[in-house]
Amino acid sequence: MSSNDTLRQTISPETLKAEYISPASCEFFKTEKGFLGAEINGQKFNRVILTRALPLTFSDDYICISDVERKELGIIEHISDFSEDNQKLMNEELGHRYFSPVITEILSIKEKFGNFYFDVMLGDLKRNFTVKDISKNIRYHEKGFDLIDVDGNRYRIIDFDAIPKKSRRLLEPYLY
Amino acid sequence: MLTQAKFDLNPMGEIITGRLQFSGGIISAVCGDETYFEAPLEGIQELVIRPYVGCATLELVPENSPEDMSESLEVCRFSMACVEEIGEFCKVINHYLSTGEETEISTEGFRVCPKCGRHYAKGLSTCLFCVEKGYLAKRLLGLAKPYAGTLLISAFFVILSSACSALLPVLNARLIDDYLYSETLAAGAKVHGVIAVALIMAGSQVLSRLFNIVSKRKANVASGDLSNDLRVMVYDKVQRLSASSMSQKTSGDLMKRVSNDTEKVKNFIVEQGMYALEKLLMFIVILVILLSISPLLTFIVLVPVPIVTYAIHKFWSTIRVRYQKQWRCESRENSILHDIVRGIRVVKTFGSEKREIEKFSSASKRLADVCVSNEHMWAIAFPLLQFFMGIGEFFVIYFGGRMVINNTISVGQLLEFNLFLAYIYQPLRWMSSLPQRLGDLAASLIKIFEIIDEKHDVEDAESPKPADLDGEIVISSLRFGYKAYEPVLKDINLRVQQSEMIGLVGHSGAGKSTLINLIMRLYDADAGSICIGGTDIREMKQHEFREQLGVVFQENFLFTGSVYENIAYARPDALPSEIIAAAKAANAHNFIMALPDGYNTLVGEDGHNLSGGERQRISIARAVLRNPSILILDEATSALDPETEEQIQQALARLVKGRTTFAIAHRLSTLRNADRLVVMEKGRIAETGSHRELLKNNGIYARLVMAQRSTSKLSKDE
Repeated sequence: MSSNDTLRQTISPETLKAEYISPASCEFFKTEKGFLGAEINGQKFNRVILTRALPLTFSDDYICISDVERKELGIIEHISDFSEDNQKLMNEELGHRYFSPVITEILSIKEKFGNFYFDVMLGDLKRNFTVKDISKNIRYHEKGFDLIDVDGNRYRIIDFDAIPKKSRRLLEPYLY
Repeated sequence: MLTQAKFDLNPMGEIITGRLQFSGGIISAVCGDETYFEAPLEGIQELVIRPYVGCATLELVPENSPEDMSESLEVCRFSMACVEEIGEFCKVINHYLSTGEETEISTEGFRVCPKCGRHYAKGLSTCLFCVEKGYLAKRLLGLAKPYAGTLLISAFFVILSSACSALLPVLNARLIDDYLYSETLAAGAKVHGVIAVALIMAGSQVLSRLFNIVSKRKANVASGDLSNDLRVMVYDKVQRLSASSMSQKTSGDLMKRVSNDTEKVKNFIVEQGMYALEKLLMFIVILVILLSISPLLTFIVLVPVPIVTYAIHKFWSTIRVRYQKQWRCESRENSILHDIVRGIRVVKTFGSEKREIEKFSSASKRLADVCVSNEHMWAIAFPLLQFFMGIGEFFVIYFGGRMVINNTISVGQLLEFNLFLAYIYQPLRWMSSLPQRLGDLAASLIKIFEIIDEKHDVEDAESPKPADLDGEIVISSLRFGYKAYEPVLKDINLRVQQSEMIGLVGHSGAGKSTLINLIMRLYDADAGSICIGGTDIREMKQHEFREQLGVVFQENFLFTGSVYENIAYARPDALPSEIIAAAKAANAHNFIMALPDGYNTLVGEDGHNLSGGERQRISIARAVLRNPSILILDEATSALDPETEEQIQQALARLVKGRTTFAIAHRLSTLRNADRLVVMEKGRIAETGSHRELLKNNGIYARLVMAQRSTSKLSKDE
């Protein structure tokens, strides 16, 4: 068999499909210490980590399961294919790993020497943060974007059109 | 002793103000009256931070923890705003766990403004949000101080030049009132008067130009010196930046700071600084003259000025944000274009021309829209502002004309007033555009100060000892992470005899290169030490220390210049005979002699006129010439064909003889000459021994060897 044939076989749609973990072969559980565990194809893992492959575009799909050393155990195609209990455990774990508080209102943006100082409302909570070079620290998603501050925190605007008009007016000049 | 740090998330992910504390052997995480976690440190091996996305957790790892870390205990969760403080907390507790000593949390590297509580960007030592308005001006004056004398002389001549020019309106008034409209003077006397005024006018103009030339010459001297000194000052600092700082900056960014930003600062100091004095003086003097001619007319002229100045200030704030947006759109369009041009072969082979054209068109259209919108605003607003700024002139014609008719002032005085108006608007317009110029200057100044003020991560000791790298190398309890909360090396202990060759082996990310970086003292360890001949390398003079190191990387940089100059880079005072001997030892002599210009051959930018193997041999020749006590070979023979590799192996075998050598190689066969192999795994030393011993142990090294054998067998089969 030539190497080209081998390659073609490796990437056939059937082979790709086989990479995903089916809901039938995977069951999640919570360990005594509070970590997420999983039994995959009969093999028990006492601690697994879930990572979004496409966190900005498909946050509930293509979820990678790995151990703490980042060794991949498999990929879940859609969380929604799993039972409610499993979904709850997975969402809890993802909520634990990804933290991007939602900006509900922008009170002010002050630019000083290339740094942008935001005063925002996260629901009822007022918070300030600093973004250096806004164009490099913005990650767009479907309707909104994440702003990354100088510490590596992420602040999310879920839908740009849904935030108050004044907030849009303040932020618009800094978007593409 | 109480050790504490802040944390800000509860287990549900809600933002709180929590306190993490360690006291009396107990670690706890509390928020108000609520205790989220409390446990003794007994039976705990270490504290680790697990960084996630936008947050992290602190965990206690028990002794004899299983590899899957399922027996760890989560202490608390926090946003990245707390990670530095909790990282320091971790260091203190881990130090306590390994030594039993209690130390205090160091707040030195925290980037939190004590005044406003905001966090500032890495590399800054000042909170730019709280920086006082006079801060930059003060520092700018500090930069200009050495040239103050020359600049003041230049400013003095500019003032003289302007004063001469300012004589024109006065002379014009005298010409009209005293001679042309004089009812008492005879015609002959009038002609003589006109000639005299014309001569004085010409003389004042000549003097004005002469003073201007002197001023410009003085300014040019100051400008040249200032420009040179600024560039050298920033370049000098760039050269001294630590490896961690360099890794956070792009070469383009650093080059821009050395050339563009220093040029902007120089232009401002020389041009605006010099004119500032002149404009201010001119404004005051002319204002006094205008008031002496007619206080009413002066008041009419000046009424719209504050309003228009305020409007201009607001206009600049808006237009600046708009132009920044235009700049971002241009940058994005350029980036897409750059990508497409560079990757044109990929675009063509994937047949994705249409997709790329659409992508570019969209970015281009966006840029065009922003440009048109900005130009519209500019085209309407600026002429309007200019008009309103000068609106007083129209009132002057009306009120001034009436005053002349009523004989309150003369025709000459009205003309003098009008001519002086032009002079007073000049400094006013200059002052109104000053905020924008200051904005541009501030951006450049901040970037320069960022470099100048940056603290060295790797500092010389207060009274450093002379560096002598002959002797045994002892690495004890070494711990290091590029980020304080992510240790890359953990508890490294190693003794290396003088002249021993150590082969560092392990998977990618095992910590081999990091260990080499610490041995070269590109970074300082977080804990533990590296001693050579009984002296800690942190106590040695850095310059002397590095002079005794030789390094050969996988990719070696050659500077633009000749082969000779590149080899001599290791020791500029080397004799030609030494250069040739070094090239011979590096198996480079033969290929160099085959070049038409021999050792004078220009290597081209980044050595592109030579092949990879040839560049490698030149860098080995450099190392030979340096005659180092410690030699570092970091993947020195990777990416070479077998024949070239053989030649380089021979050269390296000669080079390592009698020197303490650390060699990293993924291809294990290249470490066959090593006296001892050190196998690294997850930041720790997992195995040490000779090739045979390690194979016999049947551990990580044996598995690596087997994996490589099967890979090479596979490639041979193909």
